[in-house]
Amino acid sequence: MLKFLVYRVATIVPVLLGVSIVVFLMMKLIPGDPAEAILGPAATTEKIELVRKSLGLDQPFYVQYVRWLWKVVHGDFGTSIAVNVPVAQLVWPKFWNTVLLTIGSLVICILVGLGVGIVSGTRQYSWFDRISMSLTLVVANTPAFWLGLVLMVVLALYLGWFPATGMYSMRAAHKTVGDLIHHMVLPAITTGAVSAAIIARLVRSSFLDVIRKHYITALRAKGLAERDIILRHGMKNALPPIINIVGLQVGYLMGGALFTEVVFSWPGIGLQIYSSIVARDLPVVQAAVLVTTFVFVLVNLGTDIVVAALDPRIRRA
Amino acid sequence: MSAVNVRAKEAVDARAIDSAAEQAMFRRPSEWRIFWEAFSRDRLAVGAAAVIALVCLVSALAPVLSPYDPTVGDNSLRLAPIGTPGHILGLDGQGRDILSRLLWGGRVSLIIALLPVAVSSVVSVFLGLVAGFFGGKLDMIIMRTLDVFFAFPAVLLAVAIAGVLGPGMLNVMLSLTIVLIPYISRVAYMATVTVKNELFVDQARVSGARPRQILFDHILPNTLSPVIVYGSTLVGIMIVLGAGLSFLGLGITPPRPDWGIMCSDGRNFLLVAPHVSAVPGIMLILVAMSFNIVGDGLRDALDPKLRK
Amino acid sequence: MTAATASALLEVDDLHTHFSVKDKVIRAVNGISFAVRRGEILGIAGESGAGKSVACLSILRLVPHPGRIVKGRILLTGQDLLVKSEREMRDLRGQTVSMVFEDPLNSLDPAFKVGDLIAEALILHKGLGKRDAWKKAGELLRLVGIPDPDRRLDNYPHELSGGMQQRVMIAIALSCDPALLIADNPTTALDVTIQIQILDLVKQLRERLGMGVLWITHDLGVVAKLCDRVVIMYAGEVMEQGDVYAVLKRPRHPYTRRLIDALPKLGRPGQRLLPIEGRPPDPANLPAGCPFAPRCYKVKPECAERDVPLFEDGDGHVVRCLFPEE
Repeated sequence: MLKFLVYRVATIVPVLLGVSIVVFLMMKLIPGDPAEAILGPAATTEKIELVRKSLGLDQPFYVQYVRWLWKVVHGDFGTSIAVNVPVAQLVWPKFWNTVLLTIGSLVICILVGLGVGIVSGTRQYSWFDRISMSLTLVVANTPAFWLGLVLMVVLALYLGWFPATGMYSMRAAHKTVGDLIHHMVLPAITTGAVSAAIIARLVRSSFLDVIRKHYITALRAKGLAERDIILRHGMKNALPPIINIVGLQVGYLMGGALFTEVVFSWPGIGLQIYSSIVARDLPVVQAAVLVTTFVFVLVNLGTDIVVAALDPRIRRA
Repeated sequence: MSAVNVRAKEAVDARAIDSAAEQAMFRRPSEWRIFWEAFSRDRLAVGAAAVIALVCLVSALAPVLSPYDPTVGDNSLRLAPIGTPGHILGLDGQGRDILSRLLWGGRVSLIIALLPVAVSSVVSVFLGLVAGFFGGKLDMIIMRTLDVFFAFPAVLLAVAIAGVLGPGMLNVMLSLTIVLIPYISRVAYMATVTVKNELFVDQARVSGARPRQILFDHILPNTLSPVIVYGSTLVGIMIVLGAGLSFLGLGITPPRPDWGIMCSDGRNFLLVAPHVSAVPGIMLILVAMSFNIVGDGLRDALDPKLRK
Repeated sequence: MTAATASALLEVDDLHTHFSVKDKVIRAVNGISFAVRRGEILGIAGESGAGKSVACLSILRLVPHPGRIVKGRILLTGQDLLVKSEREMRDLRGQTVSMVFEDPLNSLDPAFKVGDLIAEALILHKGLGKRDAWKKAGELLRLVGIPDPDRRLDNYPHELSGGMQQRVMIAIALSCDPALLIADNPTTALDVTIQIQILDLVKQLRERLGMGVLWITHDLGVVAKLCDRVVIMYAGEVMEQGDVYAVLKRPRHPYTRRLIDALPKLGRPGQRLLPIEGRPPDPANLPAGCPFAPRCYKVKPECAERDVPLFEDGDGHVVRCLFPEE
């Protein structure tokens, strides 16, 4: 197990390095000169040269990269072009807002996905199974932004049960957890729905697979009750492949949250990326993408480790 | 008693291996027939394929079928609801006929889903074949590089690239293509490696060394079928993602319609005229679902274990 | 007809198990009757698809959907199993009657350690605590002849060889001192040498523990080596039944005769192998009369007219044939 851990952790280092290179290059490949963008109409050739020098843009690529990477590792993401504050100040709070939303979405997606999937998987062909499979097929193919709009219209604007935008009530004196959750419901459902549908289908098919295995019959022959077989043995065998997918879904949730944040004006990192792209504020985009991707890689590492801990066969590979 | 039984068993086994190898050589001619028979048995998949064909046909014929110009609006009829005489699906915020925009928009939405998957598949099959077949350093370089792109959440990468490149249909398609390559390459790679291992074992037993050319004849078709299955499902996902990019304004430029932009247009009128956003969304769901179902149907039809 | 005696451990009487699939009925078991006495090893032999495995699952009432026991009686230590509730059956399974399956690797939950798998039955049926259960598990492993048993408890099934996996299965089956052990083809997947070891092990265990054993196989060699009595099954029916020497040395049913002829004989080089021509009938479409008639070398028109009854030959040797061998 330890060997596996060391091996897996070692493999993410080159990946993270590669990610940083890609992010760096992505910004470098943008048409247009950043110096000109900063100076705006006041640009003259000398001023451009000066700004370029001060930004370190006259150095060769690899030097720029190393400089940039050094700063990033120390938490310095540069300054926002649009708002003129350190990017880190802009990005970190938004990042945590997205994490909150992702956690909410994850809760919904796991509870609903697991619940529906297990019931369907252990009762194939029942009416519940048929309805849930049709429903999940539709939901899995629904655009998150459209679902968000629908939920907003029906539950927020028409029925008024939930707020339509934002993370907290503007009018409230303090930020309470209850208020936060109230605001999070619709966005979390929007973000989590597609993943919940996907997970439900996967859980179902994984359970269908497991239930047919010979060792399940052997366990029944031992006199175990069906419920114990499903909860103890079924879960342990059906879940590892699912945990992998759930981990991937976290990545989707963080990315898909982008649409939700735009629709519901949730002040998260997705919305920040979007508005920064529109404002051509590239240091912010760079930092936001970098941070989000890093977290995604770490989450995937985490799920790989959890899966290996659960399924002894994987550790040997 | 059992010792002789065992030797008899071995004799039978050897015959089975030879006949399987023989069959492998003559397998290909009837493959299409078998596939078609299996696929046509899945009525849901056939229905979904028909829906896709219909939508593609109707969109392709948009210039002929569309009752109005999708970019010209009639301000007197702004936000008219579904069932308005002459405008069966109503009009949007600028008085443009929604049915016409739906037809014309279909062309864009379908193309920005189909083309990236197609192009990316070609590139990915090449990469996967090369990496899987030659192995060694080439394998490592290709797959490790792809791993880096794999590390990005797909939606984020698509938005970032599209945002960085700027609006426009070509840029959206380029962004989606780049995002897709690691995924399809991995599928192609795994298929190649699996087949490569199988074939080498068989070859060693049945005959002597075979020229690499024939290996390509065997490996390539076996790599193509999982790629085709995966690709079909991916088209459905790209329809939704492409529409999402357009929704954000990172896609095609107005006034050309596509289903994503149509959803975005309706955002300001959700209470008074929900149909403006609802209708294109329903089309998106319908078409994405159909590709998903077809992908599943292809997978079942191509799976040798499930064939009769 | 049952092999008479009041001390029968297991009595199966005219068992019929059918599967309803769409508009067809698959008649897997069509009226078999046999008995297993305490300390006796009864073999059930026949080709694949003869209904042997379904018969075993029927005894445990674990026939998978859409299968159902439609007729018959199953008495275990005198209790009628077919009227028992599911909870009562669960009590019996693993405790009074236990089963060993054909494919050991796939019959052991790969996500659990061997120790856990054995201990599970002990904890469930005997109420042992985990530590005691593991201790007993170690003793069981020793009983079934696994070297270094305490280490093996921590292994996962896939870490063991086929022979050891099967021994583990046997250990699990024996853990709660069952009166009856049902074994469905447990040695087919194993090496011949391992197979012989397992057969010897079962015989020893029968000596030591006195349990009854129901052993399914399609290998008459195994029957000869292991069983006291044998039932020959074909198409879900009993074709012949009796003491193993009587049946194998002087087979009375043409099918048994052909099965024995099909075995290659040692010490006779150049012999031609004699497979039985034709194939077993489709259980969804059984012909009237004797099911073996289409392939029988002694067939006469009467054979296909009506169902053939069992004829008893004294000494409990029964045969279902109108023209048995002499």
